[in-house]
Amino acid sequence: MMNVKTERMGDVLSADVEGRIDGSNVVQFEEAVRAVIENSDRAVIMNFEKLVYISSAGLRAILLTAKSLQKQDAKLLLCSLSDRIREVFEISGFDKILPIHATKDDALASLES
Amino acid sequence: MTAEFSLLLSATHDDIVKLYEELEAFAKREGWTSKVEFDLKLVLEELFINIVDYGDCPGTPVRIAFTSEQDRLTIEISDSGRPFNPLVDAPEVDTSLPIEDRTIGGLGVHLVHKLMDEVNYRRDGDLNRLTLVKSRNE
Repeated sequence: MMNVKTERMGDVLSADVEGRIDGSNVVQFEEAVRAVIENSDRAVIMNFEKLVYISSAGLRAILLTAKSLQKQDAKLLLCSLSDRIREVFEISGFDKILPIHATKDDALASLES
Repeated sequence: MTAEFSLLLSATHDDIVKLYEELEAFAKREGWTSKVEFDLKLVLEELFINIVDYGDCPGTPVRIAFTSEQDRLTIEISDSGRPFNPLVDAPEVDTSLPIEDRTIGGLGVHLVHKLMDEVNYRRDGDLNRLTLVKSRNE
């Protein structure tokens, strides 16, 4: 089960991801995100508060999203990772290439400064 | 006390759901911590999908045998796919590279190494046999 709920705040897109991203639904996840990102977006915030599981298939999708955003000079930010999910990101070294914030408000505030 | 459990899957994407369900039920019966359960789900999904995607053995049996002891879990995965030793055959991941230079391969096996305490491989006739050990004292 996986659900992506998006909200647009000007040129910042917020995506609340719920459930799990694994080999069985990663294509659905990629399409859901790609469909809402616009060329003029400055940043995408993925809120993982309700994400309970992610496998390497999900990590690859996030890396590809970050790469494609970088090409349009936009950033991918992550927030509200559980301890388990955070460990997976750290082991993969993704905490060094993507900003991870404690809350969505923190992520938004970082864009203003 | 030692508990044993084994799971017979076929090398298809559909069986990933069966793997999760059986693993969850066994974790509950055996009282695994949520961390052990999370790590094993992730590691077994990665290895199972590798067999399905790269083993060149569609629909053949994949057996996963668990031995659950007080302080550790031992898991053996056997499949009849082409010889694949994740200890040497998977691309290495450089986790220090910037976004533009990071490649997408090898992450699954990297996670397996980091989340398990021991990983051993042997080729046994026509079978790949991969043994994993996970400490329960974390």
